[in-house]
Amino acid sequence: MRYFGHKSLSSILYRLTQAGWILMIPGVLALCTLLFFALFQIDLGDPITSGINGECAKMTHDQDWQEMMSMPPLARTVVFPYLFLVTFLLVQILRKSQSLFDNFRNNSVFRTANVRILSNLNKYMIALAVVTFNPATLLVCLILMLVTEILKDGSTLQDELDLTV
Amino acid sequence: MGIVFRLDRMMADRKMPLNELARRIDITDANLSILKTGKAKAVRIATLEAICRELNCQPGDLLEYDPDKPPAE
Repeated sequence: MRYFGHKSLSSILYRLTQAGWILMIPGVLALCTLLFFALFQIDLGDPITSGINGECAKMTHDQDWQEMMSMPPLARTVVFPYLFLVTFLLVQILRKSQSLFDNFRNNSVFRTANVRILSNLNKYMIALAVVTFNPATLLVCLILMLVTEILKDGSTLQDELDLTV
Repeated sequence: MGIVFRLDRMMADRKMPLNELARRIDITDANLSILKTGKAKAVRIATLEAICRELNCQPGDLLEYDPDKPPAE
């Protein structure tokens, strides 16, 4: 299997991140709309909003949801800034990943630009791990930090090799 | 402290144009330019040998130690 260049794993991952863009924005907008109707129990009398409220009423076994619904309506809006923050971090991670895979598929691997991208990607992933309380993502970030350092050393060696005549 | 590559001076002495020397030692004009302007981080023995052969000189004629020049990183 080829990892870098065209028709390789990098090019597949680049296409996947492109598809991620197409799916993510409408997905987040749909989720926000659903949450809006569900959190404030708005029923416009149409089948969609009635269906949403009907499904939410059945979620009696979900403690988090019940706790959320017992809060005053204004306090429930706190979920939206949280959702926007997570979306922002995901968009940034997707954007950085896409440019990284784009460089990889163009056979540009050990470059300072990639070190910078990977370093920024790591920062966003750490932020996401903290915001979503996800220790597994934090572990991935630690591994990614090591990979960044390896790439940094590799780019230094590549620079020297490029300037060896 | 640093090493200065005196290729430009040697090429002028021998009246050898850059593209001609690059063609003779089989490296690209861009790489020879890197060498000429002192931006190179390392020089292969084979390249040095080819330059000495074509310019009819010794490695010592091409390399000079300058204590005032900052060292290569």
